[in-house]
Amino acid sequence: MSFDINMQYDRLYRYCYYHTHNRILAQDIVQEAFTRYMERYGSLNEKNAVPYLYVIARNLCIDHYRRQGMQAEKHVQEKTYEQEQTIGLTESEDNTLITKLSVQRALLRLSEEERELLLLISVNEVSVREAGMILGISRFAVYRRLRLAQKHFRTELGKEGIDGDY
Amino acid sequence: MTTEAKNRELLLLFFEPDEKPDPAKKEAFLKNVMTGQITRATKKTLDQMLLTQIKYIRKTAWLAALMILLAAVLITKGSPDSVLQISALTPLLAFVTEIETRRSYAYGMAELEMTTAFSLRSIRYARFMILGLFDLAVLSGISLLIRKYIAISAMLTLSCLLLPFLLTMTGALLLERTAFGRSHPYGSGVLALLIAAGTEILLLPAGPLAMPLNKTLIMQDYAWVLEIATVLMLVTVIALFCTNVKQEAEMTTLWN
Repeated sequence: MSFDINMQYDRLYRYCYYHTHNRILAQDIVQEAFTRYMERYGSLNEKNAVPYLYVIARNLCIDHYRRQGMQAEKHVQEKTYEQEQTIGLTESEDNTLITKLSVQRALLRLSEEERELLLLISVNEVSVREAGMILGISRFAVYRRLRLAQKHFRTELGKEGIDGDY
Repeated sequence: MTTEAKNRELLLLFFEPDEKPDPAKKEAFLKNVMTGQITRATKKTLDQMLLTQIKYIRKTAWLAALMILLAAVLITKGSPDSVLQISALTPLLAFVTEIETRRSYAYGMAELEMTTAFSLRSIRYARFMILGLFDLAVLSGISLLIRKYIAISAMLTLSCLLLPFLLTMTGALLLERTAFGRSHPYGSGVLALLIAAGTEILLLPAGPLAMPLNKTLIMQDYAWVLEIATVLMLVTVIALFCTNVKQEAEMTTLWN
């Protein structure tokens, strides 16, 4: 099984950026995750390379939170607040930004666990098996929670006026 | 556009980072990864790892095996009639071996060992192989001793010694999978004692499998049963060990 290192780097960066909202820190964590993985396993062509990289990155992000004494949710809400202030000036001009705001509000009403699942599986295209390994839960639990997260997301999108087959 | 693709597009509006990674930093890093320059640790060869593991295995594990060999020598010299009862000692050897192979995970040293260049999985396999081969050498030595006093085949002698050993290992490996077994590593010691006691009772001179020396033994007629059972148990032990190690590797948290 070949490992697309460029793609996985970007996806891992996306994951770390979501948790840290800091470009330098996110990139450092991604590179530290790769470094630690390579020291331990030597090859990225292992079957479990992707989940192991995420687990290392995840633990590094948690360490960062502990040091900073902050929670992920606070980061996300702070980011949204900033964007609303900026976007407020151009809201009427750009439909994409309006949709983005709506999606943000919808996602903020989901739990952190639901957002994490959507990020891992729906966005970063991690498999259910791999997501189970990353989150430390069974595949069945992943399926069940993902279904609930998707349903919850659809409901919240509906409240924001974004309807459709999602 | 599929539902999943639509869903992903919407989610990316939220999850896509506002700032992309520094491209120069990314390129330099990925180049290092691809050319294998990324590791901080010194490269270790397999030989070095095996040697390290031999040194890491506690002296008690080696001594236990040698003491069983010594006991076998004393029994054969002092009481040749009871020579097959040496089989009752092999569960204790199995217990010591099993404890030693799982020492890292059982005593929370997994995180320390995982900072080495080799995975915990390879370390456990290495230890299992080293101790397994050592035990096999000891048991083969004992079987040679036994054959001086009983005219039975080498395979049958080894089966008599291996069956209680493998039975204990099977029980211990199954116990290792349970929450009780993981939190009570020495629980398999009780199992070893029970199997040892059972073997001892079966092989007592006056017991149901009494083995008079130099006479036709009932067991020889059913040697093939014991030999097949031994091979099956050996395969079971190896399979159980491999799945246990795989499960441990999946369960162990990657430490920072």
